[in-house]
Amino acid sequence: MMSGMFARFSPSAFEWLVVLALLALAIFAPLAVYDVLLMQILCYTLFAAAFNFLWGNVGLISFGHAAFFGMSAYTTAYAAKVWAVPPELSLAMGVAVASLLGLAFGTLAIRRSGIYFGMITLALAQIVYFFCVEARFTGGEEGINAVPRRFLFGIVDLGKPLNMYYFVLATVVAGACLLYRAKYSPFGEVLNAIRENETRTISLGYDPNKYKLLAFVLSAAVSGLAGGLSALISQLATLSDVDWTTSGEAVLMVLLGGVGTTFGPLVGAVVIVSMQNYLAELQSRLTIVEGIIFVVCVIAFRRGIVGEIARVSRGLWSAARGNRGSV
Amino acid sequence: MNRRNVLAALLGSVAWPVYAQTPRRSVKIGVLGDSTSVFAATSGPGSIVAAQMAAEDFMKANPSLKVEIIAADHQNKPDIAAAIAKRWFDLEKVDAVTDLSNSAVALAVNEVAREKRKAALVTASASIRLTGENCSPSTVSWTFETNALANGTAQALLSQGLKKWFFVTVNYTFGTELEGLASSYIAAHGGEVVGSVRYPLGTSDFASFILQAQASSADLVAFIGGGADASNVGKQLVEFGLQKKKKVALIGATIIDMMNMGSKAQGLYVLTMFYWARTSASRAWTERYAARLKNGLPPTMMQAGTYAVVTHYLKAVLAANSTDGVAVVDMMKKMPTDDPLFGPGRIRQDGRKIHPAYLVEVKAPSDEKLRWDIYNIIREIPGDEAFLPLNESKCRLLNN
Repeated sequence: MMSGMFARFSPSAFEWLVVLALLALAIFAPLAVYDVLLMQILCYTLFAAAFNFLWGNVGLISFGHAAFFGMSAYTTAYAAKVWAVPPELSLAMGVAVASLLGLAFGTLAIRRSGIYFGMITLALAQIVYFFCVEARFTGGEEGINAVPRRFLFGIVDLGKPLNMYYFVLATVVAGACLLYRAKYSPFGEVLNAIRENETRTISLGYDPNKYKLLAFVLSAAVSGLAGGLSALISQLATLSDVDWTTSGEAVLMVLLGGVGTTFGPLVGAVVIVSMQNYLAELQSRLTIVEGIIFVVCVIAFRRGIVGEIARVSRGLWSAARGNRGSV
Repeated sequence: MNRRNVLAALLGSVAWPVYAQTPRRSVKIGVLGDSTSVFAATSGPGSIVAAQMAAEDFMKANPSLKVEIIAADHQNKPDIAAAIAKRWFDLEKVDAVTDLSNSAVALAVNEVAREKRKAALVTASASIRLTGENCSPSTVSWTFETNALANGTAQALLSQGLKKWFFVTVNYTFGTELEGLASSYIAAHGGEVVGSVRYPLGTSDFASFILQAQASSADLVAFIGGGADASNVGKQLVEFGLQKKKKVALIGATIIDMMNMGSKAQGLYVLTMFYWARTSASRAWTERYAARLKNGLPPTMMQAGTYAVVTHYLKAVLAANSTDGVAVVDMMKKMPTDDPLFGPGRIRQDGRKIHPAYLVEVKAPSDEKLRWDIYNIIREIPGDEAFLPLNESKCRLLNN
């Protein structure tokens, strides 16, 4: 079903147009939309994109990505607050911790695939969660609060909302570019090959475990980048960052946006984060609405919002050209 | 000076005195609670009703001030809570937030309110950091704190002659801190802790912990934990008949947990800051509350706290003629408090509201005269003895 979507070797010109339009939109968005909401959307877009990279390109569904997100958030928050480290360095430390954790998780989990892989990652993430509940440096259920944003490279004051917004935008774009580059690189092609037919890839002389592990660590590192950003955006790191529901949100965002699509994570993050912020005032109906959307999505939009749009527009395009059937 | 500046200066000189002399006409209060998850029964929807009642009662007496109550569900996600609070303060002109169940949420919103100079009226978190190292000039902690739960329970039960204690404690900050505080109080006042065990958050099977407690030489077994843990442990210890062999106290449990256990809760000790049937004024208030909420449950101390803190906040807004968070909270600290639920009291410099704590025992069902009348008040602990003394507070506001 998905092979058509992944078979393309390079992004289309249309995709580049959309990227440019979105970038322009993102640059001027703070004029119209509340900056805290935008930053949260961007942060979760990156998190969902990291998860999407693993699911869409390697076919591995991890239920433990909150561990990377959360541990990086804790590390960044702790470094910024207690060691008074500048933001670029505290983020780097967060990413380093997430990558190491990713290496440990990956080494254990990639030996299995499918639901077993998911369960192993979930179990490991729960270990991390309970470690965070009891460890002293995380502040237990009270978390780390009042994390200072400090000065970027010692010059730019991230305490100012617009500075922070553009810093977050730049970091998220950089993270997304990294994933994008990996997806369309020869490395990404091998990953696609492993997803489609692992035995055949072995017969071609590749070692799938090495590729899977590298992809897993990359995904963990980018999740860590998102987690560190979230600690600086909301100026706190708490247990909800390492909670399994955060892993679940990544799954939901990607599923809603469209697995393996370029813009799926963005669309998913926009929908879920806006719902959490604006439907909060509905009282007690938020989880029901979220649940209904999830069910509708699974039943009616198997490809997610972006996936369905792409399918319909491709259909229209080929109909217009008169060569129906070849997609 | 260009034309725009001249215009602004002119406008300013005209508008300013008018503005300064006009009393505030409207106040907006946001109830940021949990309406779907673990804290929904103890605060959440009940807190919203309590805040609305406080606003209506206040407007009846002071029609000049329009009070608006809005509400949102923080979903127990501190980052979402902080984002909602920021949006409320920046875009929706909210002047104060209340409820704030979940310590991480309360601490997160405490920082946002400090930055934006808005009032944070915490009624559903027991974190001692709110009046300690994270204390803020625009925050009031109304209902309870871990220290009061620990000291209050220990003091009241030691005076009942229960000297040998055994703790079954939930293994996270709330639990371990509480056990530490209670243990040192017990040791300092002639008691003895004969043993303790820790259970992980969200435990469903308490059998081994209950058996260890049962086998100990303790007179009293104190279970420390909140939410689902409190009601789980409560139901299971009753099945083991523990309360027939030893005295049992549930620290961190609320009246909702006791209601859920039904008649089996008889004889258990709980510490609470508010009991709805204590005075005729609180009984009358509860009748009005129950007619509004209709969930079949009595008001908790957090919900009562929300009514009381909103009432006192609105009085202070009127007295200070301001909605600046720091100015109003300053006024709240200067004015003595008085409301039908907690009676007379005061707010200390560190933002801590002082009122008595009550050790209660669950009655035999045959002794209940009114609906929900499940407690006997065993002992009243004066507020100054229950809450952490000011000279031990780590609050930096005290140094100025």
